[in-house]
Amino acid sequence: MPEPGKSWTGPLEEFGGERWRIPKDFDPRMRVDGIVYASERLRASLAHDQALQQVVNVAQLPGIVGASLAMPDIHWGYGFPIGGVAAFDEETGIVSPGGVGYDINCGVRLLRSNLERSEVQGRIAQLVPALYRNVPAGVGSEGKVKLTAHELDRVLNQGAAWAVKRGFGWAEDLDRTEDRGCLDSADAAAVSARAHERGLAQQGTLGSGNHFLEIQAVEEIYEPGLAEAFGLARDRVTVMIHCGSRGLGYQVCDDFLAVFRRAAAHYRIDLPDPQLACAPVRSPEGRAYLAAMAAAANYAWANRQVIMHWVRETFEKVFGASAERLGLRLLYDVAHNIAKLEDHSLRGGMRRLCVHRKGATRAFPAGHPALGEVYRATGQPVLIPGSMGTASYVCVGGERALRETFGSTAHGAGRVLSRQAAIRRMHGRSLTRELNEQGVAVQARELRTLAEEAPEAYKDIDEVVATVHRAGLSAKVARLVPLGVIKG
Amino acid sequence: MDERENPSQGFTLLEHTADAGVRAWGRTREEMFINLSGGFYTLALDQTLIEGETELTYTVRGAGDEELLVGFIKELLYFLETRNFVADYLQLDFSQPGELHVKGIFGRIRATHVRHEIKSPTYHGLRVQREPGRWQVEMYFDL
Repeated sequence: MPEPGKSWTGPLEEFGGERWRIPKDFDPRMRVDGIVYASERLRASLAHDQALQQVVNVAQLPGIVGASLAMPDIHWGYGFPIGGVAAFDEETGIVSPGGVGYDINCGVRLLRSNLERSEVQGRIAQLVPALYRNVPAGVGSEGKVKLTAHELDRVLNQGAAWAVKRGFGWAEDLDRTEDRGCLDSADAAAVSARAHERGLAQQGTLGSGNHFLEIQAVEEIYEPGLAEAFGLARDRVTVMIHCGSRGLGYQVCDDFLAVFRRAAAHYRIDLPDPQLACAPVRSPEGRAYLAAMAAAANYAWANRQVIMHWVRETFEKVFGASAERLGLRLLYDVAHNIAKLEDHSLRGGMRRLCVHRKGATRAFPAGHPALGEVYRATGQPVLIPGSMGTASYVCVGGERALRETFGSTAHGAGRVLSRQAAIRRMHGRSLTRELNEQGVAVQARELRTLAEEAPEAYKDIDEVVATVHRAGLSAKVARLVPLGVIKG
Repeated sequence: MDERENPSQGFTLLEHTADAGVRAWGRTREEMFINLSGGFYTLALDQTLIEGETELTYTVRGAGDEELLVGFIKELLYFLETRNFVADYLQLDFSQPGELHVKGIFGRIRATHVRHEIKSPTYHGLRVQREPGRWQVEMYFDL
């Protein structure tokens, strides 16, 4: 098992195409190689913790197909590394909550607009506090959406569609959400009473930690044709929402880690790490987890849909025009902690795989049948947020992602410093003042924990995105810079 | 050292790239458990000014100390998240094999005093060490 505080001392062979390989003969229990996507610059940070040992551990799980993969924002997680991708044969392989994470369907959505940067900067002092008032945020935040137990079940089974039916947003938003904001395999009955209890009061809340709501401006366009198709133009304003399934999702993960610890013993699966507790995909336990995970994913999609609706309402009040008039259209919504049953083309034909993306984003290229009509011609928009005060990117799914990473790419910047190290680095400095000096307005529920999210605590997002761009996993379309940030 | 750490109360905070951990110790098993709860609350809260008193009891079942420790903290997390309850006093009973019975006096804390949203205690790097006169545990939490 990876030991906290120890660095990686195993092999990491250059493999070409921004890839590094841990050969499967490094550990006789490995069934496949480990492949890590990283530039030469990012490679130096790979050995600082035991994330690579976690890549090795995942390679040992039954039914794994291809390789145990990691994106360039890789860092230490629980079970799988953050930035880990692994696919398992549906018939012979496993599913693991550790390959999804506690925050099921933590993800990102992006709104585009017709507003110019200068227009929004002129009203940022109004806009940021208004958003802060209208969107519940912070630890233990309770939402404005009051749900009965029955209504919560509808949220779990219907996802973002539930929210649209209740008047939170537009029908077209669903065409611009991964899986239309609902996994049909969800079953509210698979979600425990305790998870229900935790989810009742938290629908429509941002949460805290690295979750945020950010007002941005398009600073650079790399692919003009795609940017136009996505509704992006230089100096136009966008709004990014990053949050997940809150306490309900954490509880689902917890519940099934306990179930799977027993199941792994029952199915005689050797676990290199207890947080990799798993069960066969086709087992009763595996099916139950996938149904509950899907329900939690739906909760998260509904959550982001509700929050987006309040963002639109806030802009309407501040700018005195309808959201339609302001062009506040959803560009896309992506999940970055999820497991899905997907069909992938492998040597020998199509296979149904259980693809785990933990801190990784789906990145399907143009023409993929899973993409709706809106983006089938262009390819799927990929949203990769940076850390606070740094850039974020809009990219598009690449062909090479489908061939090499089961259609996956990076999800963000990835931490390099612990929270305490970040606080020490910020000693004597005020992050709020530094952000203000950069022209970024900040409103946070917990200013004291803001230092933990200092940009230095994260990898260089420009380098992470450049790596996946060069690797052909996702191509850069636009670079966004922050104007205002709301954090819990 | 984080100024909120308290070696005299039997715990220190551990660094982790993405999350945080606690090393807790005690002369007895019970002391180790209770000091771990102190470390947990230190991670979770800015202050522990509590109001009111409510007695709560719960039972955790597990195959060993690791499972009991995780289960013990999970319940404290549940009470904190759903009711803003913090334990002011805890009494632990290990008399039944594979079970921990907890009786606690809990008070309510203001939501604004919660510093970190802790998703869960984990088994990652979880280790219990025992030597004469000392029990020690290291536990990491997903933040």
